[in-house]
Amino acid sequence: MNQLLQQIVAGLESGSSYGLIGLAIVVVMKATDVPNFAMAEMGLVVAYFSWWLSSPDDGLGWPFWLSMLIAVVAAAAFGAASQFFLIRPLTGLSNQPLAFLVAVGFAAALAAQFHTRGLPRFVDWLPGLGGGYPWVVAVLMGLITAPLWYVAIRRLVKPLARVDHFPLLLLTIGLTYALGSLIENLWGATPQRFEAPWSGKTFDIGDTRVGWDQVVSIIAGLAIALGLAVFFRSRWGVRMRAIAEDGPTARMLGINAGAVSLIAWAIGTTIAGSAMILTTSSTVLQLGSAEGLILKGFIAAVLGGFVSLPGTFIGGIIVGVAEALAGGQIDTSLQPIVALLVVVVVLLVRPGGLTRQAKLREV
Amino acid sequence: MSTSEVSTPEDSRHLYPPRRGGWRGHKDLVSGIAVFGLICILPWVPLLGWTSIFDTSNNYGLGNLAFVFAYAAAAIGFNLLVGYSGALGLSHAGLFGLGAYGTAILTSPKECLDPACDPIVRVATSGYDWPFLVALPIVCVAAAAIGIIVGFPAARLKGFFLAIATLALGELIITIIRLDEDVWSGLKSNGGTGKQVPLFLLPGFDRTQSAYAVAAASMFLCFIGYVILTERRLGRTLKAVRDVEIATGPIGISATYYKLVAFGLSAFAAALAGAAWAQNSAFVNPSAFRTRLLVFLLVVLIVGGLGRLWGPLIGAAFFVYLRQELQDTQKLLFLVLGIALMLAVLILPNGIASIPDRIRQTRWADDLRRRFRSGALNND
Repeated sequence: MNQLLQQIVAGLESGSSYGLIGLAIVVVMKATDVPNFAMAEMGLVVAYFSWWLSSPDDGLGWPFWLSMLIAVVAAAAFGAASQFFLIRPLTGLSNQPLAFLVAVGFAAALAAQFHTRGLPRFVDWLPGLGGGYPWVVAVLMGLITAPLWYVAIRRLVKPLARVDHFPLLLLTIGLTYALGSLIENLWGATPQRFEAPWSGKTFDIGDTRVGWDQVVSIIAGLAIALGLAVFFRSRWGVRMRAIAEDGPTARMLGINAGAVSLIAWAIGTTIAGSAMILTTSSTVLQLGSAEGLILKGFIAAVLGGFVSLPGTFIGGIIVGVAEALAGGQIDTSLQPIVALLVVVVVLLVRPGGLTRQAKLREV
Repeated sequence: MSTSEVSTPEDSRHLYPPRRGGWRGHKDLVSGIAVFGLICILPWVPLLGWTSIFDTSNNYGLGNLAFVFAYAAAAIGFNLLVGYSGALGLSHAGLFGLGAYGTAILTSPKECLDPACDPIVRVATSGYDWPFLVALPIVCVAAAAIGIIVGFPAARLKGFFLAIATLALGELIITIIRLDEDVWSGLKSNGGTGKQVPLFLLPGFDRTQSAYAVAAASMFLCFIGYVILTERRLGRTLKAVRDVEIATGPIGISATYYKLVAFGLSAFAAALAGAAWAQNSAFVNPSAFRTRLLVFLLVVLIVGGLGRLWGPLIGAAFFVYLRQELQDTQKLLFLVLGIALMLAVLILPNGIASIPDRIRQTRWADDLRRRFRSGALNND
């Protein structure tokens, strides 16, 4: 009996992080119609950043709660920046920020390349061109190319002709792997221990051992989900719902769609960041943490029909508990299959999700 | 003749232009056969000495080219599915893995039943001992059947919901292969590096040359199949299903049937490519066929050119070149791949293969063409 209880608690814990990632996906999807495949990876960046701030051995060793506060602010800024640079140009707004970012980034990358390796292999046999250059020369050479990239982006990036999820999905898949590689380059590939005040401490209910990290994960997940529900009743939340339901009409009524979109991305990234902090602090912080979670997040979002917030969170919990129970009661090897089967069955039987709602999206 | 008539090409009057008569109607087929001829003689002509990565005079370059062909073959099938039928089936990595694993298991020697046998050897060699050329078509047909089963959600789901369902099903295939890792995939036998693939050797060829030949033949088969199928009724019907699905029912075309055909054909190509890939890499490991492989295939297809004939080959060459160039700095590979994918979506939605078309469509090229034509007329 106590084994069953333990499995349910473990299922609730993982389920609440699935639900949170699902909520982050749904918030972004509702407000901006972008299927964000990079959500968990963006959360992982936040988790790594907060670990780096708070870890006494490998990081700055700042107090834990201060680090969390900074991480939340950074997550919001990071999410808003992703929307501002990457998604905005495709929605018909200015591509100038992206052009600026690409020009600076490419110039810097080329400067580094010129410094460390010289010109590419197939031209460096030209007399006097081989080998690395001093930094000053390399940076100047990189800067010369910057206007080229700027003009190219300004002229070539065009808004999408029609609302199409495929390019956006590809864009966020690209972002996922770029971010994963960025984490590896910044913080290394070795798995890290993320020490939170609740890590590794346990208490007993009857004869069942429960970890504080599990309790914190479940309660924090519930709190974030409820907070989101409250937010959607506030002024900006109502605007977001209006944009989601009927974008053009909402715009005509004077709602600033760009601002709504920025806020949605900021909120989504903050939620995903909290989810990743909760999971990695109770298990281990590693590069692969996001890869499994994003699929589960999408599955939770499918269970909520990509519109319903409670449906998404409960869907995540259902998947988590079903996984834990199938793994514990039937066979361990079933654990990875359950969620995949659940999503296929739900999509075929009830494509609109588990909750009954007005049909907003054509499945 | 006034200059205004020049700017409208004949083809743009039709949504799906009919095939032209004579050899020009088979331009793709002819160019494909020509390129394949070039590929066949490449190992004896060290033309590509400008970069050591594709230098065909040694085994390293040949192996890299074999990888290019294997990825291109998979991407051609992917192209038929995503570029032509418009169905976002993302189970390709799983089907690729099925081809690689299926052939490896079927061609491995039979399990050693002698009790004196070393248990490690026993796990490593538990197979069916079929000849490669028998196992390959059977695995590909089985993969096509599974692809059709995976495609059933396509009848009901659209766009990115289909993408999630097929992504989950592809992951399911790999998970099932992983579940049996103790039984016959022999993962543990090589210190976790994976199952050893029995190599298929052509008479008179060494192992890299055989792998090169198998990969080139697979790609050629996929390419020719793609050209022949798409320039006939199937290609145009698939385009119609993609663009105006609602109109296909009333004129007696079953969209579901054609989508399932596309799923089956692309799964066949994926399994064929997977088998060729396994011949070249000599080891297979289920974790190599997860989402990362899907990202590789997406980079190959999107950077190369979605819906373009030469897109997969160009994309595969780009990808393998990049992977080998960044071999010393593995940490940067995914950064570069991710940025390449994002940039392709942002600035070149139809990939590298569309660059000539885009140049042709610029005002500058139009102007040049007009000046050339009028000059030619004046001389007459």
